[in-house]
Amino acid sequence: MQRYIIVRLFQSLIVLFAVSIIIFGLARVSGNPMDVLLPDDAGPEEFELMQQKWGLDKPLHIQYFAFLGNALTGDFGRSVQHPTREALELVLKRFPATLMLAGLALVVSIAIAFPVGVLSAVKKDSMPDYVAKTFALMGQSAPSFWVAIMLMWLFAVQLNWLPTSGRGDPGIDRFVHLILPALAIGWYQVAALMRLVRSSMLEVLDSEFIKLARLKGVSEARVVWKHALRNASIAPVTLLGLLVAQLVTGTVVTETVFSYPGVGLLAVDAIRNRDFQVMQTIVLVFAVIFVGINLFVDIIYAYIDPRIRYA
Amino acid sequence: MDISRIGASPERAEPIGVGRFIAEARRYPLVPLFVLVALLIVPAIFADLIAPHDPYEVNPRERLTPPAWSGAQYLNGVQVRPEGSWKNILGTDKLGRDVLSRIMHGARYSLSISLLAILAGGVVGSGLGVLAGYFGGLLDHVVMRLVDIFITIPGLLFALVLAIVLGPSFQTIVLVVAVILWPRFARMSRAETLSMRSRDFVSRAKVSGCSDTRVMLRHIFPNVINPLVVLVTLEVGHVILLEATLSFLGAGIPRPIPAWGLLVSDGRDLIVGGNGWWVSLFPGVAILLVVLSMNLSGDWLRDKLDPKLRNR
Repeated sequence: MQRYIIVRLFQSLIVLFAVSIIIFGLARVSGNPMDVLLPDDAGPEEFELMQQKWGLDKPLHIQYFAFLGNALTGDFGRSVQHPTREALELVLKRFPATLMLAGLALVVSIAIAFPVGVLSAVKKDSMPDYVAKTFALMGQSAPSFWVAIMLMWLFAVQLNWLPTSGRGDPGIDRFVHLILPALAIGWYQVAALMRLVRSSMLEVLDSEFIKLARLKGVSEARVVWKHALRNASIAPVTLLGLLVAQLVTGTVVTETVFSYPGVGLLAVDAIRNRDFQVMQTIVLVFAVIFVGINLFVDIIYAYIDPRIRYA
Repeated sequence: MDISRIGASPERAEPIGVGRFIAEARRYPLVPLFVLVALLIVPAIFADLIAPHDPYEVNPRERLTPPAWSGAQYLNGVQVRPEGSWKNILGTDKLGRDVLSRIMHGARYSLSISLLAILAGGVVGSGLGVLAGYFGGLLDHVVMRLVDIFITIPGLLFALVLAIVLGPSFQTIVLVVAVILWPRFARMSRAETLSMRSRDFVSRAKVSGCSDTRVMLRHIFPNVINPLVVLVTLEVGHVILLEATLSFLGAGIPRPIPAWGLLVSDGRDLIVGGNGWWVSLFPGVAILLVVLSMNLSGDWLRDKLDPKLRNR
């Protein structure tokens, strides 16, 4: 187990290292890095300072270590858009809002996808199953930004039940502002997760030990929710790791639609203003979180299923 | 009465004529294929001929005309929205451009970007995959670690960084989508190559003096192409969605080109302002129907060509 954790940890570090090289490389291949790193109206002293700090007059590998050193100490440079602010500070300030949104979306989608997926498998080929299957198919084919806009149109503009945009004041207002964005992100996740829960439930329900449990006289509810679901949740739990990647995409898109002031909206603003410093910070911060979560999922997984440890 | 036939379904006569044609046709995913042809392929090729208006033509007097079937809207006796007209069946946007014509021209961008990106990503990915699977060793290690790295990082973030560095354009988005796609092709073609490498016909080809290149191109590649074709059809839907998402975020096709993602994005503010739902709704429906049909056709082709993949 220890060996497995160490190997996985090492692999995670390599991924992060590669990401940093890619980001560094992208800023350099695009021609003069100054063009990307500095605002158009920067003066000569700013230019000089930049050159020194990032070691731009030195060979590339030295430049890379300057970049890495700065990044490791949390210095990602200043935002082009807001020259007085540190890029990292901008990103971290927006972070709680995005975390709340992503967290709620994930909880909502798990809470919907598992029961519906199980029900759809148990009552295979019934009306509820068809409805669930249609929803899953549509959910994976509909563009998430469009679903978000349509949700906003229906619930915020036409029915006027919920606010269209923003984050709201602290307290219950915050939560009210979260409902639509969380649903918009959850939509896709529910579709993907439900399909998998359904198919692995179908597989498990067909197996010998379920038949045995039924023969023994175990109640149907217990067979489904305990014996079957436990064994059927291995695949969906793996997918959860992948869904976190989907969450990143989801927050960027949804925050744009609902003007929700999180990291995603910051990223889109960064594109509009070609603010490379902020964008590279966002990517690196997300990469660290993302790799961390994957590592965590893998370790949990190896803990549950010993076959993985020794593979 | 033959007792063994009790409970069995009655025998059906072999259908003839029209009935037979219908029975044959039902084996194919006709509705999805029809939607694809009608909404994607025909508009992409013939947009110039069939679009009722020039998609770029600005017409301030007819701005925000609703779809043909909707009536005028009044607020306190003042007309706030004109009646729809058959001139612009799906209405106009805030510059008075025809929504239907813009959707038709948008099909071009969706189709050409997906095809080019899948071609680029597919060729690079499956090429590297076959090489890695065939030679193994260090090359295999390097390629697979690269694949792991690219698969671990959310593709959208990569795309956004590239969009900033290169600036949004047609070439950028093709490149971005190809970069996101290639690892999937590499993974699959490597796995398939590995299963082929130890087969008898490959070792016999080698013994008979074929060069490595020839073995890969003539003996291995034809055997791994089926799952790759299936992967392509399953990915087209994803790619169309990805392209639309990137354009929507401003990291894809630049305005005023009528890419589908941009069309939906144009309507976002109108919906918040409560003065024009049609600008976002119809392009979104077009994306939904095309992606849905693509996925259904892909599922069908997968069952046909490669049943192994069914539970993927």
